[in-house]
Amino acid sequence: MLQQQTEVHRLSNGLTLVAEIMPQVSSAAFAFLTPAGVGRDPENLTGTASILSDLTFRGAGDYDNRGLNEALDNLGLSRGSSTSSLHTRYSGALVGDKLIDVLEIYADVLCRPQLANDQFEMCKMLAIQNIESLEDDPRQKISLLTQEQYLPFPFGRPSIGKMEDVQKCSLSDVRAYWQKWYTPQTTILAVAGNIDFDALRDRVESLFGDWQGDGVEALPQGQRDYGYVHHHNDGAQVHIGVMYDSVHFCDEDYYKALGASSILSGGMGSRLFTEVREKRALCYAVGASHQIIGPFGAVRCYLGSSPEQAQEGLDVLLAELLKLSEGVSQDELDRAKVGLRASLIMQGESSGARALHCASDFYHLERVRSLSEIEDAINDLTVDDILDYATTYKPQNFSITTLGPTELKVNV
Amino acid sequence: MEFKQTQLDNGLTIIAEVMPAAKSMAMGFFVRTGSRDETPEVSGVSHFLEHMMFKGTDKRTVWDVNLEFDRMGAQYNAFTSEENTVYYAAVLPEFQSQILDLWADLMRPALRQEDFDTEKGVICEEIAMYQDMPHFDVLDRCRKLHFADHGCGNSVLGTVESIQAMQRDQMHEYFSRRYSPDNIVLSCAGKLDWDALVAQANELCGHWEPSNAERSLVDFPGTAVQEVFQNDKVTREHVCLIAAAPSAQSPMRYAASLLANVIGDDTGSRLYWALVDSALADSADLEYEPLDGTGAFYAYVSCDPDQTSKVLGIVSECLAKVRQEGITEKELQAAKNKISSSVTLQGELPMGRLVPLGFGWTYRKEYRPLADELVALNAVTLDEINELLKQYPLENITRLGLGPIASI
Repeated sequence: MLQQQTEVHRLSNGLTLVAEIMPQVSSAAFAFLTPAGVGRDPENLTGTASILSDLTFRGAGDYDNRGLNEALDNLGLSRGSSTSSLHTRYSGALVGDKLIDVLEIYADVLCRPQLANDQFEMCKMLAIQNIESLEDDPRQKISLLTQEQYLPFPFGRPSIGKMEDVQKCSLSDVRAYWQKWYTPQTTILAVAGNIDFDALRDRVESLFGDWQGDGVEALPQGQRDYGYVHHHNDGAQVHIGVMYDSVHFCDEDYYKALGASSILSGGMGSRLFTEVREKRALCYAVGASHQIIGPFGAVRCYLGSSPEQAQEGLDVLLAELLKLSEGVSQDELDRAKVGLRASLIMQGESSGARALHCASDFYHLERVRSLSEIEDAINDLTVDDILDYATTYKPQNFSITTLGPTELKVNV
Repeated sequence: MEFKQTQLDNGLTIIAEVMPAAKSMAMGFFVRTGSRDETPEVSGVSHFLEHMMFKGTDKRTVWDVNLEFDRMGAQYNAFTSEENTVYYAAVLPEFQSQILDLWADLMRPALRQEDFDTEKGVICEEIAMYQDMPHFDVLDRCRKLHFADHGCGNSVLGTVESIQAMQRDQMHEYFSRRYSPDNIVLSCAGKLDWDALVAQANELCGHWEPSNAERSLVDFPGTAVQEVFQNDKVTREHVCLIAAAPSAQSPMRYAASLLANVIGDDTGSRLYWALVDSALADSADLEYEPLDGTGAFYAYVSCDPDQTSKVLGIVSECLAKVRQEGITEKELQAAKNKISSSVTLQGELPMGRLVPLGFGWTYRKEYRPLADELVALNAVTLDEINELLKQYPLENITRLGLGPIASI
């Protein structure tokens, strides 16, 4: 049995502190999930949230740009920020006894960023360069193109921004965005590691208790899009992205979907790796994973294959996705289950992984699932469960995106 | 936590860091071989062989192998560098015996002709994949430029031509020579039964015949050649710079990793402030790579092609300033804090301990607990950094630009 201790504390301003106490480690990890996602970027100003997250580290509270970064470096903080459809996430990990010192600085970063003009210009120039750099990173580019094609606006917008949008983004746009969406309402601070929860709770109250901001409305839900779109480049491979509908995190069939994904792409004995790479040598990289983006659940696949082999690669990939509902063996399911269970237990050893798990669970479910609960749900899966899911959610429509020198045909 | 070590009669070394409180265990076979140990006729054989090691043995087909790993829920893979080939897996402790049984068998592969022919296709796809990644390509090309005929310049992947021309017997000959038990370390970390591990390893690996695999250890300061590889398909200018650095055996390796952090970490370093903070480059870093008997500092910059000369001028100024004035106590302390923190975080996971443990033995035949590593790192003084700079002054730099411009 996996044991753990989780705590939840809601501040009166809407911020929620979720913590998992891990006495066996010496580290602590955290993740702030703010509602400042790319989905909430202003119309025709995609990239605003991303520029803002960079800008918040360039001076906050009494710290200037250099002072702020030196203070974080001195604490040995390994850190990052990333923007997705619904959130900008600030995460970090360090030795546990320095967590409070870091949170003091993050209170400035989130609640009192200076948002200075000269620094804004630097952030904007870097954002433009990041978009240009995508041309030299086709795997990253296909990932953004695939998501944009499949998901309805504004969920599929590329967090990195669009060139024409970023070029016209102004400091006042970024300031207005910060004012509206850096709000304690619905923001989650998840912490995992070797922490004293009572002391942490009191300090979070004093640091973030007087942060004020508006409530957050849900984004409008549109229809997902299917079909095939090709983008040309002169690369050495055709990069293929495929997405199709699946269930959401909150759906009762979620674990069945997880089991099905693992059968498709869990290990090297899984179907996609076996059929596309091992038997036919059509690629180096192929895979599928179950994803949750805002209110949508989906399966997302990637395949990179040279132009001469890409068509066969896509054909085999799609055939395998469709074939899942025709049958699943007990041995396949058992392998999928042990793989899911092992990764769950190993995740339980990492403060960083646990902090992200707490943040994600609380956002979707307003509670943190215990490792035992997840383990039981995985153990309970049967072949009939997987078939039931694979039949109900047999892909009717694929959203397919390719990037490379050759356009392909969709033969299904 | 307890360290264990033994050696079988045939020279196979077994080491483990036993962590009773861990929930998983990690196991790896560290083979001291890589592209530096290849001749030009078999360029890419170490990496191709790494793929072939998963294709089965006299007892197991490729399908058996994949299914068996999956039945343990193993998180496993392998990697090949210029000088190491490492096979590793993390599993729940209950699978200790099974995972060793599988790995030990795989270390004596069948190398079947049919699998060999099929896998060539996968290797060529991998080569194509990296061709589309200029940030990787520039490093590979610059390493060749820097090390020239020294083995560390050999390409890990090889070329489509060298892979297509390779014969199964050539691979078998390389395997027989390099995968000698006295050239391999079996390293484990996490919750494990040491006595059972050694007894089983003796049973499964004790009969492997040693072949006295050797490697010539020659230090090489680099060619200091500067070239441009023009490629109009690439959008940004990607520049790699390489300078000589201490070896993996050198006591100066701690100072070298701290100096690299001060100059080129991705946050708060001199290159960060000079180039990324000011938006002259979207990426600028410098890393220290300790190698067997030699070493290198690698810098990588990605920028707007029009800005290349200016950016490289700033990099030169930055390095010259470090060379002339050294670094400050404050910078040294920040680097210590950053590295200590990341090493501590990594050390909490059995998988995170496995690689430092395996490489520590492969390179130096020594074990250092994490706490001792931290003490050694934090004991480095400014005088030692200055001494390092005297011996490795970040001069005579090899440089390669890859991108749209014809000259720098």
